[in-house]
Amino acid sequence: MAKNKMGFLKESGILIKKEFTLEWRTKTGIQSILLYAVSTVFLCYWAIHKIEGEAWIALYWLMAVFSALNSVGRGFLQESSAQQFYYYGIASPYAILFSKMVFNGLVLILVNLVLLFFYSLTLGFPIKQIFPFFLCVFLGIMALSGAITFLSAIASKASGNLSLLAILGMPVLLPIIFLVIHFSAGTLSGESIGFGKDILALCMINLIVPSVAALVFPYIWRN
Amino acid sequence: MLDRIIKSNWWKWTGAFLVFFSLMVGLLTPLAPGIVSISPDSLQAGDSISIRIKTVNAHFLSKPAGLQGALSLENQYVIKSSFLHVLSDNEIQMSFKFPGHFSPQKGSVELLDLELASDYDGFLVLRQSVKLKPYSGKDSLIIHSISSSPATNTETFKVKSLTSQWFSFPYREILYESVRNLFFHVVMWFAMLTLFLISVVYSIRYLRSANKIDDIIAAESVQVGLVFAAIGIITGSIWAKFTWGDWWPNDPKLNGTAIAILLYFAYMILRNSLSEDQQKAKISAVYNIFAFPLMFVVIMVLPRITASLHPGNGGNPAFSTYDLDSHLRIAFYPACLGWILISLWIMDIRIRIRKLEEIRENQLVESSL
Repeated sequence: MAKNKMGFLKESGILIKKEFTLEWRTKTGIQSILLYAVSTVFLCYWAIHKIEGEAWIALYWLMAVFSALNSVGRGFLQESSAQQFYYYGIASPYAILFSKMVFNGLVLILVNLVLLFFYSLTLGFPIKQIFPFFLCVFLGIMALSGAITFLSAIASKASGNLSLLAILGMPVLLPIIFLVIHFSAGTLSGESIGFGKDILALCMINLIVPSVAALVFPYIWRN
Repeated sequence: MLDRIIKSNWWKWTGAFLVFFSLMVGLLTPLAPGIVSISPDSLQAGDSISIRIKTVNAHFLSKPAGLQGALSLENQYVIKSSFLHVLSDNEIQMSFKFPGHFSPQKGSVELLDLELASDYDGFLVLRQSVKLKPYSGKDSLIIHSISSSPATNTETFKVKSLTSQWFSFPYREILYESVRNLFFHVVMWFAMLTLFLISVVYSIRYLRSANKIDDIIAAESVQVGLVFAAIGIITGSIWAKFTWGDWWPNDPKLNGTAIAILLYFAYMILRNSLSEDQQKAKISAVYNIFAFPLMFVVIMVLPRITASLHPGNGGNPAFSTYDLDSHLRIAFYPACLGWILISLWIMDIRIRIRKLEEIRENQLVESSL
């Protein structure tokens, strides 16, 4: 049993590398999501032209959430059952879940950077406090990717289509969206108000979601 | 042990009795006396003024012992009424001779509290209800601003007891009689939380045991919990309309609760979308365990981050610190326990129905073979 000798982190590292290699070979996943994000930005630009403050933030997070649902949603759904069977034979459920979450998070951060670039290019960049905003983006995206990855695991075991993910996803994502919008609305003004509570709450979600997911994932992963 | 308790009847009767008790106490207990309106509500420093005060539930005519009235500013400066005329139990005419040197600065207005007290009815106050305008007399009186000079002819306002002598619920200006809704709104959420907690416990048990009964209990407690959530929302909505002026004020606690309910609706949808029994039980158990901590975050953590109208949130003090007085507690704690027991009773009945349905289904399958 080779897998027992391998540490969790090493195993996850190899799996993350595997995800990147697979993605790099075809590049369809990231290309399609970039296309989706950028075209949404231009759609918004044509529709609105001028936008400020809170509406900017709301629109940004809406685009981020829906592109996340579209890209991460396929995390478990796109793999064939034979593929899954093979991975499950050689790796632990924790490593599989963790590697998917991290990979999806990294891809989403890349997508969001591109999205933010085009978004600011077309509709401006009203954020005054850059560092807290990007911290918020990072924490929020990681939380979103964690939650959606786990939900897509559930959805893939249940029916194998995206519609169930949308139903399960929205109520779970709402608190995260609420938090990030509240946090990033605070970065709009120049004067520094404490972000401690927001950061704490986002970190909490970032801890709770993967740990609960890890607790229950072993019960469904082989179905 | 637990089975024996569930099968026995005493806890159901206890629940019914506690709910009955809280209904009786909650609806029949009168509200403490309070000041409803005053007129006129403004005066000028240096004037003599007569103020007519209307109250509710007071006994000033029948039990006038120790009756006194005063105007006060931030509990520091107190001016006692010079003349007090009781018109009826709930109507009083008070006269004040207001000293001219006790005046706010020119162009500004101070808001005074109107205070009334008697031995029987306790201490009544309508905060910041009387406008005090600055002195404008012709004589060249030396005007000290209120903030700089202590008032000279004030006497401390001595009250025998702060609350009324009889059993009553506290009077609050925005709540009035609706304070009783405490027993019908807040307790519903306790019942809901209890049911969801039971549900997540049985979901965990299901994952360990794969026993179908555990899945039935988990699902039914969510269903009954959602009913109690709906009642909680309805009672809360009525209360919000009365006190905050809106059926659904944009309050993080409300929105959080709405998200929590959506989470559990998604649980029901997930259950219904799966046809195969074991798969349904397993996947919904997994989702349920995932949803419970999120619900906790949504209801308990998010409202504490932003400003909220609810007590205990957004820097508001919780009920226990000052709002929930000992008389409310007498009905509140039995109401909590009673409604939780009633909700468990409903859940128990639903589970028994489901078990009977299972048995009948099995019989049908057997007879068709």
